[in-house]
Amino acid sequence: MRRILPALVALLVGSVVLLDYFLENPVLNAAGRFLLEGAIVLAAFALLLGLWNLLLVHERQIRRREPGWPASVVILLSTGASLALGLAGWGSEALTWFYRFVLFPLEASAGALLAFVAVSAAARAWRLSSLEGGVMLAVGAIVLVGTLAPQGAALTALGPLRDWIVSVPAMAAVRGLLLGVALGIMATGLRVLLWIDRPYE
Amino acid sequence: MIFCQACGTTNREGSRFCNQCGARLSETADIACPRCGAPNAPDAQHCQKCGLDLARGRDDVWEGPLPRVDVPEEGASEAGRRALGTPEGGPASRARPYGLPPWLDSAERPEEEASPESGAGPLPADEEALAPEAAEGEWSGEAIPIEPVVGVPYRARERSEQPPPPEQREAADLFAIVSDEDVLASRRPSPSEQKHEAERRPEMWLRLLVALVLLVSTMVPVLLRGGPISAEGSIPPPVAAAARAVEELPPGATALVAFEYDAGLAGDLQPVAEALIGEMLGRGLYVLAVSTQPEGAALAEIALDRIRRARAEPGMDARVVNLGYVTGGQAAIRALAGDIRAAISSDWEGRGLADIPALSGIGGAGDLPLVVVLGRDVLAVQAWIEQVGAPYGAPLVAGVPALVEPALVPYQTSGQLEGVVGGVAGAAAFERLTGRPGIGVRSLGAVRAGAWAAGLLIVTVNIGFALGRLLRRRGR
Repeated sequence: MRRILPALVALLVGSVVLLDYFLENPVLNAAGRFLLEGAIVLAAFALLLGLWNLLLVHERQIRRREPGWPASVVILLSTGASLALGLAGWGSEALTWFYRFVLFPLEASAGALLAFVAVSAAARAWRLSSLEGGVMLAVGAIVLVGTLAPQGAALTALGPLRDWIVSVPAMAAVRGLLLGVALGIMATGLRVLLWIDRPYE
Repeated sequence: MIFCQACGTTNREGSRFCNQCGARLSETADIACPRCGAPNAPDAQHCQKCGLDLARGRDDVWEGPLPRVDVPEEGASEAGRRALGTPEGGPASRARPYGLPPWLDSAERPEEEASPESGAGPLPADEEALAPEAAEGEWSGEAIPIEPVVGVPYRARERSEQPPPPEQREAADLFAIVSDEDVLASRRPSPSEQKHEAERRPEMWLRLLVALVLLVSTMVPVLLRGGPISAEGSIPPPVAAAARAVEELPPGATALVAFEYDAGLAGDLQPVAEALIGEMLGRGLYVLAVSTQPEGAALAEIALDRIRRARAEPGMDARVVNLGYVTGGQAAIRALAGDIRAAISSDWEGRGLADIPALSGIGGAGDLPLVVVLGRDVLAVQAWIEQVGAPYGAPLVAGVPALVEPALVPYQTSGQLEGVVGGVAGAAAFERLTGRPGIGVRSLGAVRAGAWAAGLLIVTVNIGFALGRLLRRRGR
């Protein structure tokens, strides 16, 4: 029963939501809407559970003085501060200030580091040592410069070339990838609905 | 055989003085111990061998006179055997007449083996209690007594406080030095490590060079407000399509903008958001912002706040509403598409949805004339295409980082997306096309300079590597 009941629930819920997607039926649509609202509530609880788990993990790390425990102290303090800020004045200027002047600059700085890493990696990876490396170097340079070529400059001619690369060979590759991903998602969904895969067990 | 009463030494028959201590020997016959059979002097109170109280033993065990023992010269053990021939009913007669092999007979007694160095000192009281009382003694032909179950250990000899051998001290000193030493700081790299380090040095310098060039190339246009780098350029077709989708909306219509990215990508996506929302408001549209990402609602508020301040028009709060964050990922998008009020009860500031004029006459996101998805990756945009665009036919425009733009071209060419605005360059193109220059145009100079510097670096480094390879080949 412990195995059959979750499978039956998954089968029933999945079928109702799937049929709601394709069919216009008041009963099915109402049932699908009800299940979606339930999923939203469950997701909210999962978020709370995740927060609780985060607190427990870092509290244990601090108590046992595991390596990196000072960072856990910072995490707990930051979490507590942002939680208090949000609960005290949701939608207030204080919370917006927290995002604008703390979180936003920190994450933006971390994201900006990607530029350094990407360029240094590209400089080492796109080498003319092989045919594939040469093709990567040429395509990368054309797309990079062609995307940002100014009007009237000598490099403007790279613009149409860049557009052709993006809309023909790149699009063909992306389409292939997307079709493969879509087929994979369909197969996974069917396997769950047909009780072949049981990820909820 | 005559025993000396002074020292217990056996002397030959007929001896008058002990050949060991010189004491006068008694001529009377010895008596045999009823337990071990050892010969004792006639007036002895205790057996000289096993310590038995001979007077009491006689009382308890043997009523008659103690048997006389004629001890031959072969050895004391022979006396026990002779004791077997004592009158019937005597103590020895109850013993079993086993013989003793010569090698065992001549063996030394354990007491004689125990030297002072062996640790056989006086036992403590608790161990003394465990000691067998009468197991020792010269074997008299009786059955060998049962060994005590609990053995009495010898007392461990105390270790002398001698200094350790020099080689042990040397090893201990070496261990102390090694264990106290900061290995990482003092260890000399091996030749292979030195070679590896030498190989890594150019990479380190390369990274430093990349960082410096990118920093200078992006900071100079920012400090010079664009500087010599023009923000002009061609308009990509997906951007032009996105601008057309906005232009076609009638004034007073409501558009939904989904903020599906995090702060790490805000540098590339905030200009897109501001360009699109600024144009919508400029055309008299209502804008609803929503997010299924935890950070999205706050990022939306930052962008909307900047737009409100930039436009400074009356009634802007009613025209731009932040509906906040909805949990549930795709389920939340699906719920929003069907009925916004079922998924959300209040906006970011806690106002009820009934008080928001932008929502009047609107059921779900699927009813909206335009949905703009500001996605961090392809999957974020795909979710909205699958849950809103495909089932409800709502027109979708995507704003994504420049890196993601090529991956969305198939959706745009197939009509699932009305248009795509990619990164700062796309935002700048959108602003130029709509005639509302903003943060996109202002940021484009720095982005362009950075991209050109990156391209130049890649080409230069490749030329450098190629030259190095050529020189190495010639060197060989």
